[in-house]
Amino acid sequence: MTEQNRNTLEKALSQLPVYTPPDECWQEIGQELSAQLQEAPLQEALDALPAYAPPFQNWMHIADALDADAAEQPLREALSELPQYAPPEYVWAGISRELRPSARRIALKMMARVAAAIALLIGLWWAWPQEDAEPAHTSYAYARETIDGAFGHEADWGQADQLMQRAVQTFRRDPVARQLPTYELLLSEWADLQAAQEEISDMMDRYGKDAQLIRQMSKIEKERSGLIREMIAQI
Amino acid sequence: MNRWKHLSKIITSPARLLLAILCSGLLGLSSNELTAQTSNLHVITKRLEKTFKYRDGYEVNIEGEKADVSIETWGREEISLTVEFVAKHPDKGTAETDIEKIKYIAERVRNKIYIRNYISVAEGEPEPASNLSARYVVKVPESCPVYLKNYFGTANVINLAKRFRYQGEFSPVGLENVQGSIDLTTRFGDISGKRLDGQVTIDSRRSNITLEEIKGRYSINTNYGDVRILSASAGLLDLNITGTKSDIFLFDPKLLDYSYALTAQHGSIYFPSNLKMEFLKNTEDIKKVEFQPRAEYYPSVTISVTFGDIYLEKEKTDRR
Repeated sequence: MTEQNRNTLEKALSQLPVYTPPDECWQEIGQELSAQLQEAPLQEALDALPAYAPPFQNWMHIADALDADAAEQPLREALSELPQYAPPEYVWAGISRELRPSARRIALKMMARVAAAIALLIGLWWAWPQEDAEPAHTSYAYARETIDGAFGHEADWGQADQLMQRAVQTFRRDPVARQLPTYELLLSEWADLQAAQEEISDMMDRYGKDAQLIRQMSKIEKERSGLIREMIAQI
Repeated sequence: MNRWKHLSKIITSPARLLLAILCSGLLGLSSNELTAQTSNLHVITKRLEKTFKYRDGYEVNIEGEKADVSIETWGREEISLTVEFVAKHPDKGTAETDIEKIKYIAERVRNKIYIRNYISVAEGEPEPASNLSARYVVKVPESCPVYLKNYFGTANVINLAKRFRYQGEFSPVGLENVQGSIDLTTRFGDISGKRLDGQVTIDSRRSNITLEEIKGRYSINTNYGDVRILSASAGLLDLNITGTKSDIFLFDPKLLDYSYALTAQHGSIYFPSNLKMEFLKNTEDIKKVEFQPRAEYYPSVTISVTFGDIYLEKEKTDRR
C-alpha cells in the first residue's frame, strides 16, 4: 500500500524536537545491565537447584487451617454484631472480692510460716549447747607473792617515737634508699612492729603490765631500734 | 667499703648526722632497767573443772587470751578441762573484783566442744587494774582433733595423733610427739617441735621455728624468722621451706641421703664439701644448686630464701 501525503509526514517528523537523555540515564541502564550479567551465574545456579514437591500431608494441614478460618468467619461476624453493655459498679466490686487470696492460698502461706518456724527451732536445737558435761566445779585459792620492782611497771617505751618516725620518713623519701632491694621490706617491717607495739599496749591495758608483756614489748622495742639503725645506715 | 660510703654520706649531711646521733642515743635509753624495789601482791586463783564425754567426730576448739594452754592425751573417752584464772594486785579487794571480770565458755555444740576465755566489764565498772592471766590444762583422747587459737599466751601440746590446728599471735608453741595433720600459723610466736610426723604445714611471721626428729611431709613458709631443723628421722619424705629475711639451717649427719634444690636470692648457701652440689646459678644476686643421691628413694629437700642464707651442716654447733 502506498502511503498518502508521505512527504508531509516526513516533513512533520523532521520538524519534531529532538531530546538527548542525560548521561545519568545511560549510566543507570548500563549498571542495570551489568547487574543482570553479574546475577546470571546465580540465576543459573538457582535454575540448577533440584525442585522438591512438599508431601501431601503438608497441603492437607494448610487446607484444614484455611477451612477452620472460613468456619470461624460467621462466628466472628456474629460476635461483632452483639450489643455492648457497661457492667454496673457492683459487678466490679464482686470481682475484686473474688480476686482476694483464696482459702487455699492462705493455708499455703500458713504452712510456709509453720515450716520456717520449725526450721528455726531445728536450727536453734542444732546450735544450742548440749549439756552432757558435768557442771563446772569452781574453787578459789589465795596466796601472796613478792615481785622485784613496782607493781604496774612504768611505760618507758616509745620515748624515741618522734625521732624514729622522723628517721622512717627520711628513709621513705631518700632517693638512694628507694633504690635498695630491701626498701619495701624494711618499711613493711616497720609497719609490722608498729602494729605489734599497739597490740601489746592494748593487752597491757586489759590484762595489766605483767612480766611477760613487758618482755614482749622490750623485744619489739629492740627490733624497732635495730630496724631504725638499719634505715639510718642506708640514708 | 659500703659502710665507709654510707659513713661519708652521713658525715656530709649535718642534719642526718644529728638525727643518727639522737636516735642512737635514745634507742640505747629504751631498755628496761628494773629498780631494786619489791612489791607484795595478793594472788587469787579461780579454778574451774569440767569434763565432757567424748565421741568419734568430736573436736575441741580452744580460744585462749593471755592463756597458758597445755594439751595432753589420756586413755579415757572423756575430755577434761581444768582452767585457772589468776589475778594479782597489791590490794586484795581489787584482785577479788577483777578476777570475776574474766569470763569463760566451756560447752558442747553438736560435735564441737568450745572453750574460750575473755574479759568482760559491765557498763560503768572500771577496767581491771590487776595483772590477769589464764591457765588451761586440757586432756583429750589421742584421736581427738584439736583446734587452738591463742593470743598473748603460750601453748604446749603432746601426743595428739589425728589433727592439730594452731593459730597463734604473740604466743610461743611447743609440740612433742604429735602426728597426723598438723597445721600451724603463727605471728610473733616461736614454734618448737620434736618428733612431729605427718602432713605438717607451717606459716609463720616474725617467729623462729625449731624442729627436731622430723618425719613426714613439711611445707614451711616463714617471714622474718629463722628455721632450724636439728635432725631428721628415717620417715622424712619431703621438706619444703620458703623464707623471706630468714636463715634456714638443716643439721643432719645423713645429708648425703637427700636430694636438694636450694635457691638463695640476695643470700648465700653453705654446705659440706663432700656434698657435690651442681651450681645452676651462681651470681651475686642469686645462687641455685641441686643434688641428687644415687639411691632409688630419697627425701626431697627444697629450700628457697630471699634475703637470707641456707646452711646445711652435719651437726649443730653452739654458734648456730
